[in-house]
Amino acid sequence: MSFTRIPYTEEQKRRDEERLKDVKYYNNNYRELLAQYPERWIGIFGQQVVESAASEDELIAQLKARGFRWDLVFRRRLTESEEILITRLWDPDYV
Amino acid sequence: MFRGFFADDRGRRVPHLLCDVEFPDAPQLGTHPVELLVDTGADRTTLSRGIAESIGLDLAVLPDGGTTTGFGGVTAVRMVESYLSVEGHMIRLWLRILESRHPIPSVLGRDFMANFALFIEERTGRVLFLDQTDVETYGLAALGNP
Repeated sequence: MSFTRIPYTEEQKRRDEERLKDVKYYNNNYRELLAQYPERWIGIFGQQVVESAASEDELIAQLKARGFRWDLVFRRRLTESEEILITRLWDPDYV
Repeated sequence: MFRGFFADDRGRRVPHLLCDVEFPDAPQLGTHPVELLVDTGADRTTLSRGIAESIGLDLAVLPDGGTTTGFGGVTAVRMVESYLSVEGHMIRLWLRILESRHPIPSVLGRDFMANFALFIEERTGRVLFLDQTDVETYGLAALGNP
């Protein structure tokens, strides 16, 4: 398996740059967002919170209902809980 | 070379990569950007069930992908042939989808990473995927292996 080169369009570049701006907005405002939306999932688009919900599924449903392309919205859960995430996914057939 | 990013997650900084995903056997679903947690412990690239269903995949008709084992236990998975692309690099792989609805993130596994040299530096917030040309350009090949 290896990668194939394909075109990376100007439209894709603009979209990715906008997404990174939303990530930076989230990182730079993390504490304020956590205080404002504790234990909630938020959606950020255009460097602002456009929706919040109790779960990611609910957030995506609300974004769809409002006409957003949900997959272009940066989504995060804001929580104070000390969950440690270990996602080791072992596949017995992987070689 | 293409870049991922760090995003804060429960007070920690976690590396991610944004990929476009499409399915050759289901072109009607279109192309969707998905955010994947860069997980060097994961054998396979895996989508959460919620994201897969939001894209429009029907798990009931996808082939059995066996199981994955993690700290949360053993979970059945489905699999779907996929194209993952990032900044002009495309990889064809069998994407796994967890049958469980447990809210764990979608992860980028070593089946994708194996095609690149990976550089993660939390201190400076850099997540870089280097291809062979980059490895040679930056003299990394000379570092060698033990």
